[in-house]
Amino acid sequence: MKPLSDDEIQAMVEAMGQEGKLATEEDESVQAYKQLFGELANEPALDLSFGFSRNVVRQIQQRQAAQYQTKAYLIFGLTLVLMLSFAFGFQAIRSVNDSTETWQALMYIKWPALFVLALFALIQWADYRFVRAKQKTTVNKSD
Amino acid sequence: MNDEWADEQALVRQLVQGNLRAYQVLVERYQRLVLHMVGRVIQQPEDVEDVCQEVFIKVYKHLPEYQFEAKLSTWIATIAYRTALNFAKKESRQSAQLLPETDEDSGWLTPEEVLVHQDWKTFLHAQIAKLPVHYRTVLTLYHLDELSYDEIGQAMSMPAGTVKNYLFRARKLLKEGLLQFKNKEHWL
Repeated sequence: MKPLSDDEIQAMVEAMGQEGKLATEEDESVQAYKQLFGELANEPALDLSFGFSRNVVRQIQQRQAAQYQTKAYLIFGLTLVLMLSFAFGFQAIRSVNDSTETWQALMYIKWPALFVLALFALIQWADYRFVRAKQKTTVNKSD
Repeated sequence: MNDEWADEQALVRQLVQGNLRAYQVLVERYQRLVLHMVGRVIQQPEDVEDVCQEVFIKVYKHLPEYQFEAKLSTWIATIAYRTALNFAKKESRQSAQLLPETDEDSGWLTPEEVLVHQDWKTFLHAQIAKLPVHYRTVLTLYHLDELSYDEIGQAMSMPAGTVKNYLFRARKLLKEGLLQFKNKEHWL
């Protein structure tokens, strides 16, 4: 009798399942394939932590909250810039001298103002990093 | 099948409306599939959960783009596969395991490695871990998650014929390894 090819044995073992008996049971290839198919269908030892789905939902909520906060900051910043530009433009149209004086006053305090703005941004960034790190630790601990 | 399809559609509609409770249900339903997929691609257990989490965050983000062309499980498996592969590529320590599909010798343990394993099951899992990533993934999706050739092809962006071919070749390699293991006393 012509020996079966690997493709044929695989198809046979798959069709018969683990419990089925094959005519060529004594063949060591058939035995090996039966063991292989059985083990491949077994659940691996690896598992996710208890409450994994809850952690995913919490992460999504935190990311959404962070996005809303960033949007709010952007809108606030843009509104501030637009209001200042509008006020300065309005002053420039109405009285050229006044606007020149305002501009000079702004130039006078530009470095302290930039420093304050940079400091504010730095604090916000550090706060964001600190909150993110804390959130990560909380999620890991809850696992 | 139709019930399952209708159920999935209803679930996705709720999710797109921002129902996070429904999303928790979806995560619970598909976390096993994602774990199998990610666990086969990434072999550092400490990274697996983080990547699984990233997969579900991506799924949530891209859910409005899901058009029901494929089953939800296949669509999620696609995202899981790509995310896991990208992660593995980024990790330089993983680079040795991302072998080209034709490198079948990589799935072969040395005689010394064969002798180390006392039990055929641990030996088999060590051998699976040495297979090229495409082989490992195909084996998992077919045998463990019971996806069809077409569904695996969709998830891994390859024709169903290639999936079938990988599956047969991977199983043949593992079978030969098992026979080698069983005959190891001949070397002693």
